[in-house]
Amino acid sequence: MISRIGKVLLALAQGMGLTFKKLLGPKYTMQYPEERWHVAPTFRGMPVLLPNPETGTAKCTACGICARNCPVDAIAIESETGEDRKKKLTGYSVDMARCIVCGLCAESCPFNGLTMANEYELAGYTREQLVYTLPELLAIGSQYTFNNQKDVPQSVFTAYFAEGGFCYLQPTADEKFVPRVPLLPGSSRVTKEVSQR
Amino acid sequence: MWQQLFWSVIKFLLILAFLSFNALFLVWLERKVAGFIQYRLGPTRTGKPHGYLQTIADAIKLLSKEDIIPTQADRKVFILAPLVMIIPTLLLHIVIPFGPQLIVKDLQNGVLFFFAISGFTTLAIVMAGWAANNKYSLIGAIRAISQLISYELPLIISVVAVVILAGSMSTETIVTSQASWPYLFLQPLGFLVFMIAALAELNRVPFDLLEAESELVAGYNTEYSGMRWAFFFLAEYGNIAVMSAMAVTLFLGGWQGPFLPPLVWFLIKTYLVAFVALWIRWTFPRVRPDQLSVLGWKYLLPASLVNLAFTSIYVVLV
Repeated sequence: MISRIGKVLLALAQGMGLTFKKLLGPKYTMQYPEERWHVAPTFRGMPVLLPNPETGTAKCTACGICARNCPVDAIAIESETGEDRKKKLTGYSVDMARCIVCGLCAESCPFNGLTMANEYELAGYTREQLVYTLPELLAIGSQYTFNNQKDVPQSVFTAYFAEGGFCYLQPTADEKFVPRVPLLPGSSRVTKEVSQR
Repeated sequence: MWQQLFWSVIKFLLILAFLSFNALFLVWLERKVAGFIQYRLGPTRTGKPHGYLQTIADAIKLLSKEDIIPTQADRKVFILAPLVMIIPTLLLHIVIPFGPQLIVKDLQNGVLFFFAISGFTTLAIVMAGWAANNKYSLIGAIRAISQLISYELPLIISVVAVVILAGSMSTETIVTSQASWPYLFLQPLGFLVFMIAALAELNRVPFDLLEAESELVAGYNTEYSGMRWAFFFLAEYGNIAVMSAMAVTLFLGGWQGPFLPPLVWFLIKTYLVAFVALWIRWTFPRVRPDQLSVLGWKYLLPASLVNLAFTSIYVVLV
Protein backbone atom coordinates (compact mmCIF):
# COMPACT_ATOMS: atom_id res chain seq x y z
CA MET A 1 0.00 0.00 0.00
CA ILE A 2 2.62 2.52 1.12
CA SER A 3 5.05 1.42 -1.60
CA ARG A 4 2.27 1.77 -4.20
CA ILE A 5 1.58 5.34 -3.09
CA GLY A 6 5.31 6.00 -3.26
CA LYS A 7 5.46 4.62 -6.81
CA VAL A 8 2.53 6.80 -7.87
CA LEU A 9 4.09 9.93 -6.36
CA LEU A 10 7.41 9.11 -8.04
CA ALA A 11 5.67 8.69 -11.41
CA LEU A 12 3.88 12.02 -10.96
CA ALA A 13 7.18 13.70 -10.10
CA GLN A 14 8.81 12.17 -13.19
CA GLY A 15 6.00 13.56 -15.35
CA MET A 16 6.45 17.01 -13.86
CA GLY A 17 10.19 16.75 -14.49
CA LEU A 18 9.65 15.85 -18.13
CA THR A 19 7.33 18.80 -18.80
CA PHE A 20 9.72 21.16 -17.01
CA LYS A 21 12.55 19.95 -19.24
CA LYS A 22 10.41 20.60 -22.31
CA LEU A 23 9.47 24.01 -20.90
CA LEU A 24 13.12 25.03 -21.11
CA GLY A 25 13.88 23.14 -24.33
CA PRO A 26 13.87 24.39 -27.95
CA LYS A 27 10.63 25.66 -29.52
CA TYR A 28 9.61 24.64 -33.02
CA THR A 29 7.06 27.32 -33.92
CA MET A 30 7.82 28.95 -37.28
CA GLN A 31 7.36 32.70 -36.96
CA TYR A 32 5.72 33.12 -40.37
CA PRO A 33 5.99 35.49 -42.24
CA GLU A 34 9.34 36.51 -40.71
CA GLU A 35 10.50 32.91 -40.96
CA ARG A 36 9.78 30.73 -43.96
CA TRP A 37 10.16 27.18 -45.15
CA HIS A 38 13.44 26.29 -46.80
CA VAL A 39 11.59 24.72 -49.72
CA ALA A 40 12.95 21.76 -51.67
CA PRO A 41 14.36 22.24 -55.22
CA THR A 42 11.41 20.32 -56.67
CA PHE A 43 8.83 22.33 -54.72
CA ARG A 44 5.67 23.06 -56.72
CA GLY A 45 4.51 26.66 -56.37
CA MET A 46 2.95 28.59 -59.23
CA PRO A 47 4.04 27.70 -62.80
CA VAL A 48 6.24 30.35 -64.42
CA LEU A 49 7.97 30.76 -67.81
CA LEU A 50 11.73 30.28 -68.04
CA PRO A 51 13.64 32.87 -70.11
CA ASN A 52 16.13 32.05 -72.84
CA PRO A 53 19.47 33.03 -71.24
CA GLU A 54 20.75 34.53 -74.54
CA THR A 55 17.80 36.66 -75.62
CA GLY A 56 15.92 37.10 -72.35
CA THR A 57 12.60 36.23 -74.01
CA ALA A 58 10.55 33.17 -73.08
CA LYS A 59 11.84 29.76 -74.14
CA CYS A 60 8.21 28.81 -74.85
CA THR A 61 7.47 27.91 -78.49
CA ALA A 62 3.70 28.16 -78.10
CA CYS A 63 3.25 24.48 -78.93
CA GLY A 64 0.33 24.28 -76.48
CA ILE A 65 1.19 20.92 -74.86
CA CYS A 66 1.07 22.48 -71.38
CA ALA A 67 -2.37 23.99 -72.01
CA ARG A 68 -3.66 20.63 -73.28
CA ASN A 69 -2.19 18.79 -70.29
CA CYS A 70 -3.66 21.21 -67.78
CA PRO A 71 -6.49 19.33 -66.00
CA VAL A 72 -8.25 22.54 -64.91
CA ASP A 73 -7.72 24.59 -68.08
CA ALA A 74 -5.80 27.31 -66.26
CA ILE A 75 -3.31 28.05 -69.08
CA ALA A 76 -4.19 30.17 -72.09
CA ILE A 77 -1.69 30.69 -74.95
CA GLU A 78 -1.84 33.32 -77.71
CA SER A 79 0.41 33.00 -80.73
CA GLU A 80 0.72 34.26 -84.30
CA THR A 81 2.46 32.81 -87.36
CA GLY A 82 5.36 35.03 -88.44
CA GLU A 83 6.62 35.70 -91.98
CA ASP A 84 9.06 32.78 -91.68
CA ARG A 85 5.98 30.55 -91.10
CA LYS A 86 7.08 29.92 -87.49
CA LYS A 87 4.73 30.20 -84.51
CA LYS A 88 5.56 33.16 -82.26
CA LEU A 89 4.40 33.51 -78.63
CA THR A 90 2.42 36.73 -78.09
CA GLY A 91 0.55 35.99 -74.90
CA TYR A 92 0.62 33.44 -72.07
CA SER A 93 -1.60 33.53 -69.00
CA VAL A 94 -2.01 31.31 -65.95
CA ASP A 95 -5.23 31.70 -63.96
CA MET A 96 -4.10 31.01 -60.39
CA ALA A 97 -7.73 30.95 -59.26
CA ARG A 98 -7.99 27.70 -61.25
CA CYS A 99 -4.46 26.31 -61.00
CA ILE A 100 -4.10 23.36 -58.64
CA VAL A 101 -0.27 23.46 -58.75
CA CYS A 102 -0.08 19.84 -59.97
CA GLY A 103 3.00 20.52 -62.08
CA LEU A 104 1.78 18.59 -65.15
CA CYS A 105 2.49 21.64 -67.40
CA ALA A 106 6.14 21.84 -66.41
CA GLU A 107 6.50 18.05 -66.49
CA SER A 108 5.12 17.80 -70.03
CA CYS A 109 6.99 20.75 -71.53
CA PRO A 110 9.34 19.34 -74.24
CA PHE A 111 11.46 22.53 -74.31
CA ASN A 112 11.82 23.03 -70.55
CA GLY A 113 10.20 26.41 -71.00
CA LEU A 114 8.20 26.11 -67.76
CA THR A 115 9.12 25.55 -64.13
CA MET A 116 7.20 25.47 -60.85
CA ALA A 117 8.36 28.51 -58.87
CA ASN A 118 8.73 28.64 -55.09
CA GLU A 119 5.93 31.22 -54.86
CA TYR A 120 3.24 29.90 -52.56
CA GLU A 121 1.60 33.13 -51.38
CA LEU A 122 -0.97 33.07 -54.18
CA ALA A 123 -3.88 35.00 -52.69
CA GLY A 124 -5.39 38.14 -54.24
CA TYR A 125 -8.22 40.57 -53.69
CA THR A 126 -9.89 40.10 -57.09
CA ARG A 127 -10.16 37.29 -59.63
CA GLU A 128 -8.49 39.51 -62.24
CA GLN A 129 -5.51 39.94 -59.94
CA LEU A 130 -4.98 36.18 -59.97
CA VAL A 131 -4.55 35.93 -63.75
CA TYR A 132 -0.80 36.17 -64.36
CA THR A 133 0.22 37.41 -67.82
CA LEU A 134 3.32 36.79 -69.96
CA PRO A 135 5.54 39.63 -68.60
CA GLU A 136 4.65 38.77 -64.98
CA LEU A 137 5.35 35.06 -65.47
CA LEU A 138 8.63 35.85 -67.21
CA ALA A 139 9.68 38.29 -64.46
CA ILE A 140 9.26 35.64 -61.75
CA GLY A 141 10.70 32.95 -64.04
CA SER A 142 13.90 34.93 -64.62
CA GLN A 143 14.95 33.99 -61.04
CA TYR A 144 15.11 30.33 -62.07
CA THR A 145 17.45 28.52 -64.43
CA PHE A 146 16.01 25.03 -64.90
CA ASN A 147 12.72 23.15 -65.02
CA ASN A 148 12.42 21.72 -61.51
CA GLN A 149 9.88 19.06 -62.51
CA LYS A 150 12.13 17.29 -65.02
CA ASP A 151 15.74 16.07 -65.08
CA VAL A 152 16.84 17.91 -61.92
CA PRO A 153 20.63 17.54 -61.54
CA GLN A 154 21.88 15.73 -58.43
CA SER A 155 24.06 18.75 -57.51
CA VAL A 156 20.90 20.78 -56.82
CA PHE A 157 19.81 18.31 -54.15
CA THR A 158 23.31 18.18 -52.68
CA ALA A 159 23.33 21.97 -52.43
CA TYR A 160 19.86 21.97 -50.85
CA PHE A 161 20.88 19.58 -48.08
CA ALA A 162 24.16 21.44 -47.58
CA GLU A 163 22.05 24.55 -46.92
CA GLY A 164 20.23 22.78 -44.08
CA GLY A 165 17.67 20.63 -45.85
CA PHE A 166 14.08 20.76 -44.68
CA CYS A 167 14.14 23.61 -42.14
CA TYR A 168 13.03 27.13 -41.38
CA LEU A 169 14.77 30.14 -42.82
CA GLN A 170 15.38 32.98 -40.39
CA PRO A 171 15.85 36.56 -41.57
CA THR A 172 19.12 38.39 -40.84
CA ALA A 173 19.81 42.12 -40.78
CA ASP A 174 20.68 42.27 -44.50
CA GLU A 175 17.38 40.55 -45.41
CA LYS A 176 18.95 37.22 -46.21
CA PHE A 177 17.36 34.05 -44.86
CA VAL A 178 19.35 31.66 -42.68
CA PRO A 179 18.36 28.07 -41.81
CA ARG A 180 17.30 27.74 -38.18
CA VAL A 181 15.94 24.41 -36.95
CA PRO A 182 16.83 21.27 -38.88
CA LEU A 183 13.68 19.13 -38.97
CA LEU A 184 14.95 16.03 -40.74
CA PRO A 185 16.81 13.55 -38.56
CA GLY A 186 20.47 13.44 -39.48
CA SER A 187 20.69 16.88 -41.04
CA SER A 188 22.85 19.05 -38.85
CA ARG A 189 22.44 22.65 -37.76
CA VAL A 190 23.89 24.84 -40.52
CA THR A 191 24.50 28.57 -40.29
CA LYS A 192 25.61 29.18 -43.87
CA GLU A 193 23.59 31.96 -45.46
CA VAL A 194 21.12 31.19 -48.21
CA SER A 195 19.93 33.91 -50.53
CA GLN A 196 16.25 34.80 -50.37
CA ARG A 197 14.16 33.13 -52.99
CA MET B 1 -16.24 58.02 9.90
CA TRP B 2 -15.49 59.64 6.51
CA GLN B 3 -11.84 58.72 6.89
CA GLN B 4 -12.78 55.11 7.48
CA LEU B 5 -14.99 55.12 4.39
CA PHE B 6 -12.18 56.68 2.34
CA TRP B 7 -9.72 53.98 3.38
CA SER B 8 -12.28 51.25 2.71
CA VAL B 9 -12.75 52.53 -0.84
CA ILE B 10 -8.97 52.69 -1.36
CA LYS B 11 -8.56 49.12 -0.11
CA PHE B 12 -11.42 47.91 -2.31
CA LEU B 13 -9.86 49.52 -5.38
CA LEU B 14 -6.47 48.00 -4.56
CA ILE B 15 -8.02 44.54 -4.24
CA LEU B 16 -9.88 45.05 -7.51
CA ALA B 17 -6.64 46.10 -9.21
CA PHE B 18 -4.80 43.08 -7.77
CA LEU B 19 -7.59 40.75 -8.92
CA SER B 20 -7.70 42.21 -12.45
CA PHE B 21 -3.92 42.12 -12.73
CA ASN B 22 -3.86 38.49 -11.62
CA ALA B 23 -6.49 37.49 -14.16
CA LEU B 24 -4.67 39.22 -17.01
CA PHE B 25 -1.21 38.09 -15.93
CA LEU B 26 -2.11 34.47 -15.11
CA VAL B 27 -4.03 33.94 -18.37
CA TRP B 28 -1.00 35.23 -20.25
CA LEU B 29 1.31 33.06 -18.13
CA GLU B 30 -0.93 30.04 -18.62
CA ARG B 31 -0.81 30.41 -22.40
CA LYS B 32 2.95 30.89 -22.31
CA VAL B 33 3.53 27.88 -20.04
CA ALA B 34 1.17 25.76 -22.15
CA GLY B 35 3.00 26.77 -25.30
CA PHE B 36 6.46 26.23 -23.90
CA ILE B 37 5.61 22.78 -22.54
CA GLN B 38 4.21 21.81 -25.96
CA TYR B 39 7.32 23.09 -27.87
CA ARG B 40 5.34 26.17 -28.96
CA LEU B 41 5.91 29.86 -28.27
CA GLY B 42 2.46 30.93 -27.06
CA PRO B 43 1.22 34.43 -27.88
CA THR B 44 3.93 36.57 -29.52
CA ARG B 45 2.19 39.11 -31.77
CA THR B 46 0.08 41.42 -29.61
CA GLY B 47 2.65 43.36 -27.62
CA LYS B 48 5.87 42.11 -29.18
CA PRO B 49 8.04 40.22 -28.51
CA HIS B 50 6.24 38.10 -25.89
CA GLY B 51 2.57 38.97 -26.37
CA TYR B 52 2.31 41.02 -23.17
CA LEU B 53 -0.85 42.80 -24.39
CA GLN B 54 -2.63 39.63 -25.57
CA THR B 55 -4.89 39.25 -22.54
CA ILE B 56 -5.74 42.97 -22.51
CA ALA B 57 -6.84 42.67 -26.14
CA ASP B 58 -8.85 39.55 -25.21
CA ALA B 59 -10.50 41.40 -22.32
CA ILE B 60 -11.49 44.31 -24.56
CA LYS B 61 -12.91 41.84 -27.08
CA LEU B 62 -14.93 40.01 -24.41
CA LEU B 63 -16.33 43.23 -22.97
CA SER B 64 -17.49 44.46 -26.37
CA LYS B 65 -19.21 41.23 -27.40
CA GLU B 66 -22.96 40.80 -27.75
CA ASP B 67 -24.71 39.84 -24.50
CA ILE B 68 -26.56 36.57 -25.17
CA ILE B 69 -29.07 35.06 -22.72
CA PRO B 70 -30.70 31.80 -23.89
CA THR B 71 -34.50 32.10 -24.24
CA GLN B 72 -35.09 29.00 -22.12
CA ALA B 73 -32.73 30.15 -19.36
CA ASP B 74 -33.82 31.24 -15.90
CA ARG B 75 -33.00 34.91 -16.54
CA LYS B 76 -32.55 36.20 -13.00
CA VAL B 77 -30.34 33.34 -11.83
CA PHE B 78 -28.44 33.36 -15.11
CA ILE B 79 -27.56 37.05 -14.66
CA LEU B 80 -26.83 36.65 -10.95
CA ALA B 81 -24.45 33.64 -11.22
CA PRO B 82 -21.34 35.51 -12.50
CA LEU B 83 -21.76 38.08 -9.72
CA VAL B 84 -22.08 35.36 -7.08
CA MET B 85 -18.90 33.90 -8.58
CA ILE B 86 -16.88 37.12 -8.38
CA ILE B 87 -17.95 38.35 -4.92
CA PRO B 88 -16.38 35.46 -2.90
CA THR B 89 -13.16 36.00 -4.88
CA LEU B 90 -13.10 39.64 -3.78
CA LEU B 91 -13.95 38.72 -0.17
CA LEU B 92 -11.14 36.13 -0.03
CA HIS B 93 -8.57 38.92 -0.44
CA ILE B 94 -9.64 40.45 2.90
CA VAL B 95 -7.63 38.04 5.07
CA ILE B 96 -4.53 37.74 2.88
CA PRO B 97 -1.52 39.33 4.63
CA PHE B 98 0.56 40.92 1.87
CA GLY B 99 3.10 42.17 4.38
CA PRO B 100 3.38 43.17 8.04
CA GLN B 101 0.29 45.38 8.74
CA LEU B 102 -0.49 45.14 5.00
CA ILE B 103 -3.83 43.38 5.30
CA VAL B 104 -7.38 44.60 4.72
CA LYS B 105 -8.64 43.21 8.01
CA ASP B 106 -6.78 40.79 10.29
CA LEU B 107 -9.79 38.75 11.43
CA GLN B 108 -9.43 36.60 14.56
CA ASN B 109 -10.94 33.68 12.61
CA GLY B 110 -9.31 34.57 9.28
CA VAL B 111 -8.60 31.02 8.13
CA LEU B 112 -12.14 29.88 8.90
CA PHE B 113 -13.49 32.94 7.05
CA PHE B 114 -11.32 32.16 4.03
CA PHE B 115 -12.41 28.54 3.62
CA ALA B 116 -16.05 29.29 4.43
CA ILE B 117 -16.20 31.95 1.72
CA SER B 118 -14.25 29.92 -0.86
CA GLY B 119 -16.97 27.25 -0.67
CA PHE B 120 -19.43 29.78 -2.14
CA THR B 121 -17.79 29.39 -5.55
CA THR B 122 -19.62 26.08 -5.86
CA LEU B 123 -22.94 27.85 -5.25
CA ALA B 124 -22.25 30.16 -8.20
CA ILE B 125 -21.37 27.16 -10.37
CA VAL B 126 -24.58 25.36 -9.43
CA MET B 127 -26.58 28.54 -10.16
CA ALA B 128 -24.91 28.92 -13.56
CA GLY B 129 -25.39 25.24 -14.40
CA TRP B 130 -29.04 25.20 -13.35
CA ALA B 131 -30.05 28.55 -14.89
CA ALA B 132 -28.58 27.86 -18.32
CA ASN B 133 -31.10 25.04 -18.86
CA ASN B 134 -28.55 23.02 -20.77
CA LYS B 135 -27.72 19.38 -20.07
CA TYR B 136 -23.96 19.95 -20.19
CA SER B 137 -24.19 22.88 -17.79
CA LEU B 138 -26.31 20.86 -15.40
CA ILE B 139 -23.97 17.85 -15.46
CA GLY B 140 -21.09 20.23 -14.76
CA ALA B 141 -22.97 21.70 -11.80
CA ILE B 142 -23.81 18.27 -10.39
CA ARG B 143 -20.17 17.26 -10.67
CA ALA B 144 -19.17 20.44 -8.85
CA ILE B 145 -21.28 19.36 -5.85
CA SER B 146 -20.00 15.78 -5.77
CA GLN B 147 -16.46 17.17 -6.07
CA LEU B 148 -17.04 19.62 -3.22
CA ILE B 149 -17.91 16.83 -0.80
CA SER B 150 -14.75 14.90 -1.71
CA TYR B 151 -12.11 17.61 -1.38
CA GLU B 152 -13.48 20.05 1.21
CA LEU B 153 -12.85 17.75 4.22
CA PRO B 154 -9.16 16.92 3.59
CA LEU B 155 -8.52 20.56 2.63
CA ILE B 156 -9.84 21.93 5.91
CA ILE B 157 -8.36 19.17 8.09
CA SER B 158 -4.90 19.78 6.60
CA VAL B 159 -5.33 23.47 7.45
CA VAL B 160 -6.49 22.66 11.00
CA ALA B 161 -3.07 21.09 11.66
CA VAL B 162 -1.41 24.39 10.78
CA VAL B 163 -3.87 26.27 12.98
CA ILE B 164 -2.99 23.96 15.89
CA LEU B 165 0.74 24.60 15.37
CA ALA B 166 0.27 28.37 15.19
CA GLY B 167 -2.28 28.42 18.00
CA SER B 168 -4.36 30.98 16.14
CA MET B 169 -6.71 31.36 13.20
CA SER B 170 -5.50 34.87 12.44
CA THR B 171 -3.54 34.79 9.18
CA GLU B 172 -1.07 37.41 10.40
CA THR B 173 -0.29 35.40 13.55
CA ILE B 174 0.19 32.27 11.44
CA VAL B 175 2.78 34.09 9.31
CA THR B 176 4.66 35.57 12.28
CA SER B 177 4.77 32.17 14.00
CA GLN B 178 6.70 30.85 10.96
CA ALA B 179 9.60 33.21 11.63
CA SER B 180 12.12 30.38 12.25
CA TRP B 181 10.70 27.57 10.09
CA PRO B 182 8.02 27.69 7.40
CA TYR B 183 5.35 25.10 8.18
CA LEU B 184 6.27 23.34 4.92
CA PHE B 185 9.09 21.59 6.82
CA LEU B 186 6.92 20.67 9.81
CA GLN B 187 3.91 19.70 7.66
CA PRO B 188 5.14 18.12 4.40
CA LEU B 189 2.21 15.71 4.29
CA GLY B 190 -0.23 18.48 5.17
CA PHE B 191 1.19 20.66 2.40
CA LEU B 192 0.82 17.86 -0.16
CA VAL B 193 -2.80 17.21 0.84
CA PHE B 194 -3.50 20.94 0.85
CA MET B 195 -2.09 21.43 -2.65
CA ILE B 196 -4.05 18.51 -4.13
CA ALA B 197 -7.29 19.53 -2.43
CA ALA B 198 -6.73 23.19 -3.37
CA LEU B 199 -6.42 22.20 -7.03
CA ALA B 200 -9.78 20.43 -6.70
CA GLU B 201 -11.22 23.50 -4.96
CA LEU B 202 -10.00 25.69 -7.83
CA ASN B 203 -11.50 23.27 -10.37
CA ARG B 204 -8.16 23.05 -12.12
CA VAL B 205 -6.82 20.17 -14.20
CA PRO B 206 -6.51 17.31 -13.20
CA PHE B 207 -9.75 17.95 -11.26
CA ASP B 208 -11.62 20.17 -13.75
CA LEU B 209 -14.48 17.68 -14.03
CA LEU B 210 -17.12 20.39 -14.08
CA GLU B 211 -15.86 21.98 -17.28
CA ALA B 212 -14.26 18.88 -18.84
CA GLU B 213 -14.22 20.20 -22.40
CA SER B 214 -13.83 16.78 -24.01
CA GLU B 215 -17.10 15.52 -22.49
CA LEU B 216 -19.16 18.53 -21.38
CA VAL B 217 -18.40 21.18 -24.06
CA ALA B 218 -17.50 23.78 -21.40
CA GLY B 219 -19.44 22.47 -18.40
CA TYR B 220 -21.26 25.05 -16.30
CA ASN B 221 -20.30 28.02 -18.49
CA THR B 222 -21.36 26.43 -21.81
CA GLU B 223 -24.13 29.00 -22.38
CA TYR B 224 -22.14 32.00 -21.19
CA SER B 225 -20.36 34.39 -23.53
CA GLY B 226 -18.90 37.87 -23.59
CA MET B 227 -18.80 39.82 -20.36
CA ARG B 228 -20.52 37.23 -18.15
CA TRP B 229 -18.11 34.57 -19.32
CA ALA B 230 -15.24 36.99 -18.64
CA PHE B 231 -16.51 37.28 -15.05
CA PHE B 232 -16.20 33.51 -14.60
CA PHE B 233 -12.68 33.63 -15.95
CA LEU B 234 -11.74 36.63 -13.82
CA ALA B 235 -12.98 34.71 -10.77
CA GLU B 236 -11.21 31.48 -11.79
CA TYR B 237 -7.81 33.08 -12.22
CA GLY B 238 -8.35 35.39 -9.25
CA ASN B 239 -9.08 32.28 -7.19
CA ILE B 240 -5.84 30.66 -8.35
CA ALA B 241 -3.87 33.69 -7.18
CA VAL B 242 -5.68 34.03 -3.87
CA MET B 243 -5.43 30.29 -3.12
CA SER B 244 -1.72 30.42 -3.93
CA ALA B 245 -1.46 33.38 -1.55
CA MET B 246 -3.20 31.31 1.13
CA ALA B 247 -0.82 28.37 0.54
CA VAL B 248 2.08 30.81 0.95
CA THR B 249 0.54 32.22 4.13
CA LEU B 250 -0.13 28.82 5.70
CA PHE B 251 2.91 26.80 4.64
CA LEU B 252 5.65 28.92 3.03
CA GLY B 253 6.21 31.62 5.63
CA GLY B 254 4.10 34.36 4.06
CA TRP B 255 5.94 37.65 3.48
CA GLN B 256 9.03 36.57 5.42
CA GLY B 257 12.37 36.21 3.67
CA PRO B 258 15.87 37.73 3.63
CA PHE B 259 17.10 40.83 1.75
CA LEU B 260 13.98 41.72 -0.28
CA PRO B 261 11.04 43.76 1.06
CA PRO B 262 8.14 41.69 2.50
CA LEU B 263 5.66 42.51 -0.29
CA VAL B 264 8.14 41.38 -2.97
CA TRP B 265 8.78 38.12 -1.14
CA PHE B 266 5.06 37.53 -0.83
CA LEU B 267 4.41 38.12 -4.53
CA ILE B 268 7.37 35.97 -5.62
CA LYS B 269 6.17 33.04 -3.51
CA THR B 270 2.54 33.49 -4.61
CA TYR B 271 3.34 33.47 -8.31
CA LEU B 272 5.68 30.50 -7.86
CA VAL B 273 2.83 28.49 -6.33
CA ALA B 274 0.49 29.72 -9.09
CA PHE B 275 3.08 28.62 -11.65
CA VAL B 276 3.10 25.14 -10.10
CA ALA B 277 -0.69 25.01 -10.57
CA LEU B 278 -0.29 25.91 -14.26
CA TRP B 279 2.60 23.46 -14.63
CA ILE B 280 0.44 20.64 -13.19
CA ARG B 281 -2.38 21.54 -15.56
CA TRP B 282 -0.23 21.04 -18.65
CA THR B 283 1.35 17.83 -17.32
CA PHE B 284 -1.46 15.59 -16.11
CA PRO B 285 -4.65 14.28 -17.74
CA ARG B 286 -8.06 14.74 -16.13
CA VAL B 287 -9.22 12.16 -13.53
CA ARG B 288 -12.60 10.43 -13.69
CA PRO B 289 -15.28 11.49 -11.19
CA ASP B 290 -15.01 8.16 -9.35
CA GLN B 291 -11.22 8.46 -9.22
CA LEU B 292 -11.57 11.89 -7.63
CA SER B 293 -13.92 10.47 -4.98
CA VAL B 294 -11.52 7.57 -4.30
CA LEU B 295 -8.59 9.99 -4.05
CA GLY B 296 -10.49 12.29 -1.71
CA TRP B 297 -12.05 9.72 0.63
CA LYS B 298 -9.55 6.85 0.61
CA TYR B 299 -6.22 8.67 0.45
CA LEU B 300 -6.42 12.41 1.19
CA LEU B 301 -8.84 12.20 4.14
CA PRO B 302 -6.90 9.45 6.03
CA ALA B 303 -3.61 11.21 5.24
CA SER B 304 -4.90 14.53 6.59
CA LEU B 305 -6.33 12.82 9.68
CA VAL B 306 -3.01 11.06 10.39
CA ASN B 307 -1.27 14.39 9.90
CA LEU B 308 -3.69 16.09 12.28
CA ALA B 309 -3.25 13.36 14.94
CA PHE B 310 0.55 13.51 14.85
CA THR B 311 0.50 17.31 14.91
CA SER B 312 -1.79 17.28 17.97
CA ILE B 313 0.46 14.81 19.79
CA TYR B 314 3.52 16.90 18.88
CA VAL B 315 1.93 20.09 20.18
CA VAL B 316 0.78 18.42 23.43
CA LEU B 317 4.18 16.78 24.13
CA VAL B 318 6.56 19.57 23.08
